[in-house]
Amino acid sequence: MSCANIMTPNPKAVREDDTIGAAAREIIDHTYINLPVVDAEGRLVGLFGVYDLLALLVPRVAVIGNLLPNLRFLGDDDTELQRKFATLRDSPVRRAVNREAARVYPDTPLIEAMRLFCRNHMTIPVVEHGTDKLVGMISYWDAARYIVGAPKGPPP
Amino acid sequence: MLFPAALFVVSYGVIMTERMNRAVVVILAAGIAVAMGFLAQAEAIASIDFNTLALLTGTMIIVGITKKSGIFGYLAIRAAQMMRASPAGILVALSLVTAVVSAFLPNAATVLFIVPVTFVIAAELGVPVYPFLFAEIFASNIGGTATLIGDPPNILIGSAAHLTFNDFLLALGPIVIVVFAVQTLLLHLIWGRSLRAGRQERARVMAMIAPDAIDDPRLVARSLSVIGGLIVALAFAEPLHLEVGTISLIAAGVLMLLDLWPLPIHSHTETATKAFQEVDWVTIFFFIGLFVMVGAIEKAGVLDYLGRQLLAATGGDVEVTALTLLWGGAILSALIDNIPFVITLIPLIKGIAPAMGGDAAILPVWWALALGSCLGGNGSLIGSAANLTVAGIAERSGTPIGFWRFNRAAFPLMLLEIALCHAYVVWRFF
Repeated sequence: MSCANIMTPNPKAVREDDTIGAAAREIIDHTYINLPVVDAEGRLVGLFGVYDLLALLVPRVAVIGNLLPNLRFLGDDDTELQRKFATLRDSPVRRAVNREAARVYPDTPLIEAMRLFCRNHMTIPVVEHGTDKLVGMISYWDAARYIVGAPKGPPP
Repeated sequence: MLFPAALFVVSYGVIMTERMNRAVVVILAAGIAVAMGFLAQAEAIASIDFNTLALLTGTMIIVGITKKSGIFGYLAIRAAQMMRASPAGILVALSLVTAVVSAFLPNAATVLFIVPVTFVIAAELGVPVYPFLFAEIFASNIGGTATLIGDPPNILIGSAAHLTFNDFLLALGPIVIVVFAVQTLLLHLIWGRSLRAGRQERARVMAMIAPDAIDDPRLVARSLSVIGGLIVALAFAEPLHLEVGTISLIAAGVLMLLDLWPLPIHSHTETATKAFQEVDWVTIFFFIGLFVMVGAIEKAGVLDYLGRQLLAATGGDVEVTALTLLWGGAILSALIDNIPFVITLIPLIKGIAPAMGGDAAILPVWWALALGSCLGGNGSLIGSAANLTVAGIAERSGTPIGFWRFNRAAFPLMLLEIALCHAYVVWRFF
């Protein structure tokens, strides 16, 4: 069984020059974990997900390693978070895209995709060999549904 | 004499290329030295300074447990608020906190705790973080120079020359205060006075809730008690007839015990394992390998030969020797790791001591070596472990420091520090 058998073909994607605000709206409206980000030729650039959206508003030093035990000392100023988001809303999503995200090919065995799900807890884009064009997305739900024999659900 | 010297030089060269982990290089070289019969295994083990290793290991465990408490974040925020969130004031305050903490805890650990909060404070103020990072690097190396436990070269020198915690504080404390004051003034003139933050931005820093930076108040109390006890015990090491390594390991053991005490018995092993994992084993094995390597070249007579050359070059004059080591040590420390060359110089200096009037007469040489090797670390971005730690955090946070950008300002400032130390050494010891 390969990834091609369980992937959702032609998934929803955003272009790298779309705004962060538009990409965020897409994620929120459809409760996506991640959205693939592609260039003008449809090649995968990376993923932009809900964690990438939230990480834009948290000091970067607080999300790398265990350098800060907590951020409670910043207090509870939600208007400040909204103000920060407003300053980022019109920036291109390429600024926040996760370029290190794992990717698989249509012929990648399912077990390898499952290993990546277990390690990264993220949906995975499926790209074409050689061109890196986005051809599908697979989620841990797709893998789980296949294994327990449940019918295929809505796209990730 | 030739083969051990060649092995030493080659190992040193490989370390300098930074293409292979330094601990791996020296452990392998030490193993080759024993295997080739440059020194017997018993001699190799005898050449390791376990007092130094115990002191380092103990303080690393203490820092590893203390950092979970969040106390360092609290200190940094309080310092910023005491300056009413003025960026120029914060530059001074965070430098002072870094210098004082660095005097009693390893420099690299100190910056690891202060720098992340610095990033948050600078972001809230809307000012560039670089001046703060620069100032904290300098402060950590300056503060670490003041005490026996502040910087690895001091630990090595103190252990080898039987110098106490108080000896270091009394001999180096005054010049460290002067160097810190001058440095702070210069950094204010270079960056501090031009840092500006709006009223709203400053209000955000003033609104930070410093006590909330503390994750575990009980751990803060336990850690500070143990660190306080450690400092007092180190100050009284001589009347207590205890070596600093023993004191450090006892303190680490007490803090681990206090950390485990409230936990269920089944989690003790996991918690203790985590505490032991806080030890920087790369550094510890680097020290072990170097001690053995230096033991090998000492036995081969290389250090005797170099000692005779040094005596001939300086005419056996203590002042000339001290000042040569002050400047030479500083410049070399800026360019390469100061630990290997201090470990190499220690037996060399001990070897020439009789020709220079004995242990008491060469005390200024030890102080000059300590000042040069510790403060020299300020001369470049690779000059000390603290510098590299800050550079690493900055890079991962998306604001890389830049090797040459740092060095352009750092090297002249380091030379100025050494010039101040030169005047102090001459005035105080000759």
